[in-house]
Amino acid sequence: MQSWNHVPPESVVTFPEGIPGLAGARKFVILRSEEMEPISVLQAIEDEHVSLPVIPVHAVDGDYRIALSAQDRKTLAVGEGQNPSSLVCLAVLILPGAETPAACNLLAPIVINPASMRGKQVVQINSSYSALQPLEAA
Amino acid sequence: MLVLQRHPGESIRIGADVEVYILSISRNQVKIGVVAPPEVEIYRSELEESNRRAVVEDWRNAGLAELAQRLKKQDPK
Repeated sequence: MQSWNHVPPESVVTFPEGIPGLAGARKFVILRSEEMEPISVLQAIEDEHVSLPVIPVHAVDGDYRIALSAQDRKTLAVGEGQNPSSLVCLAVLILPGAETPAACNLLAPIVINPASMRGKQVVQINSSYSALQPLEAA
Repeated sequence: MLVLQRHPGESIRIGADVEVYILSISRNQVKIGVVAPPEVEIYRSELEESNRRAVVEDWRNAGLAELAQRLKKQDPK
């Protein structure tokens, strides 16, 4: 079993406010492999059983538009003049079940600022994006 | 749990900074308004359940590579 004790600090993404429903998990790494592209895994450092599969929102919806509040920018430490396209927007993936297709949450994307290595799940509260957008034909 | 009865147009306060208004009531839906400082996160409670449902315990054996293959096949994006 892999240990997360020796993760290089520069690859750790900190969620200062945590992720709703995931108790105290605040520090994550992003795991990628060629076979899973474009899917990646947000892995909690402190708890190896907390892994959140994610997919870039633009792999699901090429026209996806994210709205960030001043508070979101503060939490993510978005720099003055930082290009918004440098932010990484990931949709949480809900794996297929016996009778449900794979889906993802476009209503509350996880936004990561690579410049500060901070992350936040940003609820698009007044948008019409789905919290359970099917990815496969049922 | 604290239980209060309120009419449309009335509100309650939670602490000094948060005020919750009952705006309108229809048959089975209540429209509420929340006034809170920007650092107070407001979201529908289902988000917690949705995130918990998305967690996989063993991502290496969760079929992610297979799902990725299927998505690539169906989606020329």
